[in-house]
Amino acid sequence: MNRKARIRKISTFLPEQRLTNDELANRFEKWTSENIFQKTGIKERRFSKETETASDLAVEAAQKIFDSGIVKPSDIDILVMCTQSPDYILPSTSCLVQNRLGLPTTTLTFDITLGCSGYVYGLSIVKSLLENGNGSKALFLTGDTYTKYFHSMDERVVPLFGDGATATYIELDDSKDIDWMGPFVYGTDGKGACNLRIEAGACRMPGYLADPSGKSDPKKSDAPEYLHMNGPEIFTFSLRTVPETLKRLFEKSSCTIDDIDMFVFHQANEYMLEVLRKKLNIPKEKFLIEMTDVGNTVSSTIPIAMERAIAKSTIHEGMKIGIVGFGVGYSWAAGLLVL
Amino acid sequence: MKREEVITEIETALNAEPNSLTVLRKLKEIETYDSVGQLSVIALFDALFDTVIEPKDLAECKTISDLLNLVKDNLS
Repeated sequence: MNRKARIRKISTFLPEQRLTNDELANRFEKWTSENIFQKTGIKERRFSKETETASDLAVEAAQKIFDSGIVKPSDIDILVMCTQSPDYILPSTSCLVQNRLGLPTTTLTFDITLGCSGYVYGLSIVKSLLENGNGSKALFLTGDTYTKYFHSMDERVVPLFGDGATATYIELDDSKDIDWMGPFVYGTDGKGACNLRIEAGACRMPGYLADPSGKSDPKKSDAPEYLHMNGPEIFTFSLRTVPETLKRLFEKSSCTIDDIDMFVFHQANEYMLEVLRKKLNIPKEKFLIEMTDVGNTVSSTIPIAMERAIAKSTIHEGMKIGIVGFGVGYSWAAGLLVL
Repeated sequence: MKREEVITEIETALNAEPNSLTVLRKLKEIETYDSVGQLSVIALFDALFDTVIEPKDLAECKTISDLLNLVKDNLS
């Protein structure tokens, strides 16, 4: 019997500091706590301390996997970390995490620089690595501190995003002759890059620290060093892309909505999720929304939602789960999982 | 679909009072035509006409009539 990659455990870690809707209503005078919740579906979101980085959050999430006893650090063959808020421009954050977790120096380790689609891409990549002779036990981490990229008065992003990390332990399993993960479908459209980006700080535009013209100004919310998002463009991209992506996934897997027990989409914002659910005719009981107290945690949204649903027994072993990640890039992917 | 029916749908999407919107009503005067209200109109036209409106086209609309013109091919 062939051994296939299977998710065995998901753990999550959120930083302690919270930004509530009451605090946001004090910051943005035109809003009330209630209408922030009505617009976003979010009551609070976590944010990292100034000295707390993605690797810190990811290490905590990974340690929970090890503390459960399901696997030891010395048994890990593959470590992949998905982040768009690395500790440093280089080296890869996963290298730092390998060292901090005490994983073997023979571990296959690298970063994935994706956001909203990152969890789905990452699962597909880890599955391929495991099933092609590169090891039998993998740790796939997601972790972001997007809140460090904001101007505090940018009302387009501050209410929506939160920081967090997850760890997913995946191993080869031959207990049943099934594909526990897959198939997957993917998509990319770089024309949408300008609609969710940080323009300055890397090589194309060094940013105010290296800007001789003086045009970059960290005090201004429209400075290119901050995260900027064009919400309507992201919304229309999602309306166009997600249905077509699910259609491709169903064709590839010979499945229909009826065959899927639960859909877990990237938890971008509740209003958009509900519009997509209705457009796709997915029953409410088959559509997971789990973001009220965490917000949009980028590539961590899908595993956070899954971990919470598993803890509540909303989803359980044997269920078929449809996951869809879509957003920054534009990049998107969808896949099927059997828990 | 008739123009009056679409206007009724827009009123529902924007949580506006029934019969409160006319074709000449200025969008900036509608309290609920904010960032979420605009997404609501995009979602509405997609649901009614399977048409995803471009945000840049929506941004140029000043009145209810301008919104209707975005989907004029679907109106009777």
